[in-house]
Amino acid sequence: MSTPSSTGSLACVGIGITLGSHITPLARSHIEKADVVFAAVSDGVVELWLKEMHPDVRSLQPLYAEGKHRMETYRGMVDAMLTEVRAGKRVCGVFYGHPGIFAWAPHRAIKVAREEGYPAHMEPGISSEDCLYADLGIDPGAAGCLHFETTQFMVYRRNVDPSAWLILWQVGLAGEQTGHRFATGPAYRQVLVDVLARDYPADHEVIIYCAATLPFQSPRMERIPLSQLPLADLTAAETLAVPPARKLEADSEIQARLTALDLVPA
Amino acid sequence: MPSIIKFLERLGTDAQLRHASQEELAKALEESQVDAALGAAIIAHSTSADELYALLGLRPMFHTQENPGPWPLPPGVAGDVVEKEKQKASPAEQAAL
Ligand SMILES: C[S@@+](CC[C@H](N)C(=O)[O-])C[C@H]1O[C@@H](n2cnc3c(N)ncnc32)[C@H](O)[C@@H]1O
Repeated sequence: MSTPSSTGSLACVGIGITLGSHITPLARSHIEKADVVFAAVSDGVVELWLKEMHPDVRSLQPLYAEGKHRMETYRGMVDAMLTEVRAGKRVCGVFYGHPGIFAWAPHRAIKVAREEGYPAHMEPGISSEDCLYADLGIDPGAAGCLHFETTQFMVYRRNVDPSAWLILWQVGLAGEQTGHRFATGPAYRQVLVDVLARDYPADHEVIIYCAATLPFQSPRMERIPLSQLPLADLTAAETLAVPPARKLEADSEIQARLTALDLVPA
Repeated sequence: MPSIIKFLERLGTDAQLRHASQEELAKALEESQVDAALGAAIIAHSTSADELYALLGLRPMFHTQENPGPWPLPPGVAGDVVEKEKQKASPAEQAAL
């Protein structure tokens, strides 16, 4: 860690998913007390709402462009925030959901700021993951729950456990390897179906999920057979939830060992 | 604060309004002087907010914030994997960076 050349600081906070409902008092205070606020939210109305909380809210949306590599966009986000930190400003980065869940720039910006000696902090927010548990009635502790970014799940060999829930993020970008597209089509999703078919039957019911970002919306919870996923209507906002396809398998050897321990006098 | 944003903030914060019937919503909208067309989009209680976005002149926003890589990056675009970490990590760990 080096000695900072100014009194700047960075807080990356989550604004939650649903407008008005999820922002924490501490996140709001970080926003209100900042000198400058950067916004990476996924809904234009949420951005308008955020602009009511602070006179200097700068949208990070213009950093995105069709055909531009996503890493370039994310690096641009980090640079925009750190430029103001280095200029001695108290900076707040506002990200939708939780700022540290499936989000590269906040982690990176905090790491770089700390390396340069600036105070930097992440403040959790309510993630789409939290909404998913509530809306779909899933307790991740009941049978276990695996989370993957969809493309990463496809292009690397992972250990799937069909007795647990499987949650696939960014499913609308399934198989996107170029780094500069924001959606893929049915042919790519068919490859995802083929990967899943190694562990799940073709008629296994999967759930396309989208939490409400505006408080008058209802969540989207569409149940379809796995085989129909290629033709489903998907945007960048949906998450795919794959319910368990198998019962938990007992490990009788471990169970016997534990039972034997129970019989040993304390 | 524009009345529509104020109303949506109230809707997201108030337990009764958040789960109100269409009639109750209509009444609350009338009281808060939200434009009728915007109000109708809210009352529809749909899974989509396209109508509201159109009325407010808002375009869909970009969502992605994560790169699932590591892929070969185009020249001039630096990735997350710091060279030092890359050399230290096993192939499996590299995949997770
Ligand atoms: C870049 S990640 C950002 C996630 C965000 N940080 C969070 O905490 O929810 C984008 C992915 O999150 C999920 N996501 C975002 N908004 C969502 C929503 N409203 N409902 C369900 N999933 C959502 C989808 O899998 C989407 O492709």
